[in-house]
Amino acid sequence: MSLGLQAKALTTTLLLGLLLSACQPPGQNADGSATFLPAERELIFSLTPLGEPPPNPSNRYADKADAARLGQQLFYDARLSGKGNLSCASCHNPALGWSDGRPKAVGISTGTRNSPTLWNVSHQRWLFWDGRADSLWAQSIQPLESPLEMGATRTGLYQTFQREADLKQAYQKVFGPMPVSRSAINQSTDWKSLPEADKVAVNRFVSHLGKAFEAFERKLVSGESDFDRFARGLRDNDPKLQKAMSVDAQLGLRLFIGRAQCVLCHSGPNFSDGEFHNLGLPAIPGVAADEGRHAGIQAVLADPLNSLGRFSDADPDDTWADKLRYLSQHNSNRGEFRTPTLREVEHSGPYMHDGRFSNLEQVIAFYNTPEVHTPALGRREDTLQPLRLSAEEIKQLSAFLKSLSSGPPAVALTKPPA
Amino acid sequence: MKSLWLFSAALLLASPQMPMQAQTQTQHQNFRIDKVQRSQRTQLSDKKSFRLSYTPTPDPIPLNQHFRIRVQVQSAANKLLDGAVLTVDATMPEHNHGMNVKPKVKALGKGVYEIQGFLFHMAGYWEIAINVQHGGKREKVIFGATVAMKPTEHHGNHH
Ligand code: HEC
Ligand code: HEC
Repeated sequence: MSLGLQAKALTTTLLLGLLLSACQPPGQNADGSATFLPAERELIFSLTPLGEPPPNPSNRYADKADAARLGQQLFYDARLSGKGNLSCASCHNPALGWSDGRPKAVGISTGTRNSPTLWNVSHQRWLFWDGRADSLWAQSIQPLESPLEMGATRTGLYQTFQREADLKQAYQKVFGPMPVSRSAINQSTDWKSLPEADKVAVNRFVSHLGKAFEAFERKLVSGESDFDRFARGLRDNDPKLQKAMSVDAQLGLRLFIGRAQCVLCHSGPNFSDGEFHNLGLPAIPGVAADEGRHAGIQAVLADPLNSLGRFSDADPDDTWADKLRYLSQHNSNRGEFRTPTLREVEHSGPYMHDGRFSNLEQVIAFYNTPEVHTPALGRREDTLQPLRLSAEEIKQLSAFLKSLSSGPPAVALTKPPA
Repeated sequence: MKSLWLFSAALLLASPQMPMQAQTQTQHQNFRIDKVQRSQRTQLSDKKSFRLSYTPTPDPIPLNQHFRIRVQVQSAANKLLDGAVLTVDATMPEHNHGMNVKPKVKALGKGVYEIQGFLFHMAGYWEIAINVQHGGKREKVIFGATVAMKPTEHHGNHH
């Protein structure tokens, strides 16, 4: 029997066998709400509460208030873009779930991928849909320099900070004097022409900017959602708290951790395993297939700002960098994308790496019948199996996803610091 | 093998399945991995020349966190073997995917080898396949392990 068939056969039967069998038909209270069995409760409690962002030893400024303040200032400052008209917030708008409401990002021109939410981004192990950055600080230089996004250059940024007194002062307050380049640097300096020592100075400067962005982004964490409240009620046996979730949402939760198997990848309190999967989304006519993780692995290994490079603040043998130390590229990485968080997902559509679905019901409809689509690239993971959800159940799953919202971000974070 | 079948069957019977789902699950029963046997932490290699035992750290294997294993390599006659070359991979046979990392092997002496850099990012049944090369022989050992989702502790992050 082929591996594929074995896999198919096995998935539903044993993996969550206990749970699956525990789940149907739901034990229900008189009002139709769910009574969850012990095995289900274990799974529910693996998803909550969200908790603090994990430490990032590669950024010694990660939890410094002055660095976060600088990061917040820069996040909203359009002077960091090539033409002075775009900031990070242009695509990561706090009023749109730290995203932009568009299928694909629009900066200097239209990109090829969807702007992901920044909610809880500090809980991710890898950044970008393809994981081509291994820390938030290393990530941030890429939109700044992307010719499709902000269109700056690192040498140009260096000169901007030399020129604009307030920026330079704000930088120096956190990081001390700007690293010195012996070559004169201006907006048109050719990076390749710089001697190595000056490249290091400029890279040190941009890694500092990145570390400030990260300190700010670590503040973008969700509060308690209806789901968290419900789970707390379940844990403490408090029926009033359990009312935080509608009956539909509770039945959706049961599907999420049971028959629909969503929890296999959307696992842990950030509803993401932080890793990469090929869901077998079909090709879109006229759009080039996206290599996803396969190219991302090469890029992160080659990135001079990665966590094994000289700009990391972690001890050389810190296990934090193990993710990179043991990383290897496989053919199966083609067409894989990182599992996104589902917290606040209601507010961050359109969905998927290419923004192909405009609402959650469309996403769930895809998961319901993955087998009818030919993967754009590579091979669909057998984790995804036909779900045979009814229209009612699709509604319940969607109600559950909407219970993962915790309300708008704190106003103080939604604009430059006072 | 039999025990596994019985186990699944027992689940199906014991739980209040809706008829339709029970049916799909029954259709899915025609796979064959002897998980119970493979989950033993001491295994003979496929051609029976080597006996391998392993312990993971942390133990049990955590979900979505790096872990390492120590493997003791012996001949079938229980002689500790140094100088073996081990190559390692791990997969989820039920999902046709494996790890996104490549573990590294370090010989510690006295027949013990440490393999670092494992990460099992999905709950469920995994298999660690170790190829052992020693004394002109090349044989394979498979260890099975089931990784569970655990309730969060205090802070509830999974890193
Ligand atoms: C033109 C729109 C645009 C601008 C401006 C922009 N981004 Fe993004 N951002 C994106 C897109 C699109 C992606 C995903 C790209 C990919 O995966 O290849 C992304 C990804 C990210 C991620 C990774 C999120 C994750 O879940 O992995 C972070 C963090 C981020 N951006 C922060 C920033 C910061 C900080 C700035 C300003 C320095 C910025 N972005 C400017 C569009 C933008
Ligand atoms: C095999 C792992 C896996 C399983 C199982 C899985 N997902 Fe996903 N999910 C992903 C990945 C990977 C993506 C991103 C795919 C892409 O962009 O191409 C994703 C994307 C999503 C998105 C879009 C989020 C966004 O911000 O764009 C939603 C919503 C979602 N999944 C919900 C679910 C639900 C509901 C289930 C169960 C029916 C489920 N997922 C099962 C891995 C998985």
